[in-house]
Amino acid sequence: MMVVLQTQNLCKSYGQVKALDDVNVYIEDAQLLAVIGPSGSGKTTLLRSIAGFVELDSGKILIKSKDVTNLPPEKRNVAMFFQNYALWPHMTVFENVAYGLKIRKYDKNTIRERVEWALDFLDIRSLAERKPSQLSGGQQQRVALARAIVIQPDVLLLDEPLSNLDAKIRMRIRFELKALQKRLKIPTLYVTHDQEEALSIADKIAIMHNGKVLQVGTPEEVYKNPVDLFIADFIGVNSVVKVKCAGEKLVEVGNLKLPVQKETVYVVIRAEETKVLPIQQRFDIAEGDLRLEGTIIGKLYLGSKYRYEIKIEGVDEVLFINSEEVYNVNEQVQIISRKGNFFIYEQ
Amino acid sequence: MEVRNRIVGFLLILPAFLILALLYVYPLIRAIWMSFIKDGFLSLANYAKAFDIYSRDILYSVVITSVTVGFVLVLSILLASYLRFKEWRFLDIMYRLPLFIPFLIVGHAMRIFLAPHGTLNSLLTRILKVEELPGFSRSWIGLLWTFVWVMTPYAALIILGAFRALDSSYIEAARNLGASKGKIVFTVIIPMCKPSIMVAAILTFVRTISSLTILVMIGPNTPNMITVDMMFRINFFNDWGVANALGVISYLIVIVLAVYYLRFMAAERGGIKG
Repeated sequence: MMVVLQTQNLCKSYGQVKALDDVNVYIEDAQLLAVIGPSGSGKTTLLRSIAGFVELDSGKILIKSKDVTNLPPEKRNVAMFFQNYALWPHMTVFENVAYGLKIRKYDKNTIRERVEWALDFLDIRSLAERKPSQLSGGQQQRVALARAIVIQPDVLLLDEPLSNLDAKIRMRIRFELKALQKRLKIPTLYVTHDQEEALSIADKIAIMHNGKVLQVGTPEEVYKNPVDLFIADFIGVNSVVKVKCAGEKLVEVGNLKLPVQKETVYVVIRAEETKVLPIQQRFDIAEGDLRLEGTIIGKLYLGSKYRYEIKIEGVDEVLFINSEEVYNVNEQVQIISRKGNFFIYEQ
Repeated sequence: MEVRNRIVGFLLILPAFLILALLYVYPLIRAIWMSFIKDGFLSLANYAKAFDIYSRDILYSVVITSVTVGFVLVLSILLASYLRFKEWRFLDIMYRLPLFIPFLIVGHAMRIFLAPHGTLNSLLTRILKVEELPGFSRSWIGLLWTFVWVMTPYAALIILGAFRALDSSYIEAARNLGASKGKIVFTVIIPMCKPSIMVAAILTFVRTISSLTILVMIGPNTPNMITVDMMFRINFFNDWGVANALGVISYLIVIVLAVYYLRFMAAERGGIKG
């Protein structure tokens, strides 16, 4: 596998705030690397620094082994997809897509051929003569994508590409985008704050927080083996329980007694992989499974399931667990989380 | 209740309406009316006389004003483009200075600057190593120079405002696709800011064609612009009829421009809506 894009120790500060703090990521061949993190984590700064719009304090960016750190944006041959699409309203769809090729001084026939290829690829050939304001959000998104891929960039940078679409279209386009990227075989860096989107679309995920990359791995790796509390909580739908050390170096969480080094223990429970059962029901739990008892204090109807708000005796935080079973408020329940579906961190 | 609201609404706009009617609409209508009155009778004599004596000046006014607009737009766009890409506080403040200098002072300063033995010529004679050069202060060159000097900051203020209001992503998208800054100015920024550039052009045109002070201070004696002719008709001949006719002609020139602008804006909106 060949490394196409590599960032080495990228640092960027805005005053006291470190937007990028020693960031190292790389993309191999036609991989899609999703960078996720909450607002202000530095993910967009990373993307913009690769595009050349952010001047770095230190570090290097290599594209196909060539150092592009000091090259202006127009000389990098990376194509960026903007969150607001940034289609020029005074140009038609065709002119928008042809822009990058005209700049590269291709002859008219080549431009026409390649633009038509891109428009066909994204199934928007019929819109060629329209202006962006005459297009729907989804169509504009395709035009922006066509404009980015038509120049055959070394790297494709996608900045929250689905955030302006409504939830239903977003789900459909996720699949399309993944298929498209595989067909095009362009190394892609995909920035999003939506962890579900990242899990479903990425070959690898980098999780950022406070300018640092905390973990890089496949979606399965980061979901199943989060390296710290932040990642465990950020990925998936979870409930976090904070437990103080009761006795000497020992913490009790439900049925588990855990030897600990520090005073506080956080238990992150994957809400979608946890069972809620009636308190009387017998349930065989294996070694390492977690069993908690609590009282339902609230419930929300989510269509195919309910979201229960459950209070555990002696714990301040309330748990939010999804279940298809129907329970009433004030009903006593037991919560079972299999080993691997909850994570324990000391802090 | 609704009637009461209407009355309150009417009373609220009444002062503004009265001021407009008294200070703008009435004088305008009266000036137009008087331009058609000669010796107490309705006629086109004032217009015939205005065109007979001043057709060269009318043409001169339009040409000088149009050339001024051309220069002002080029300079303003260059300045605005530079400041759109690069923060330079000094230039950002300096280009606005002429906005705060009265036309009379500008005229006087330019008279000194452009006089036969003025600042500019002193400099040029030294550089070009010649004995003497003609002054520009009473020629069309001096007039054009002064107009451009005075009008550019206004136009630049409007155009730079529009350039800066343009979402950066449109510019970044073009850079990302390989466009140089110059290319971006012509292919993205100017087309997207066309309405503001049009406004700047029209305001410059109106302000130039209706200015008087600078012309009196620095303009050539002949040919002259319409406003100076109007002043002469009134001051020396007490001829309000021809003066008003000249005023109406300059109104018409501006109206042609306004109609063009409105049609352009309608086309722009129509184009976007499809």
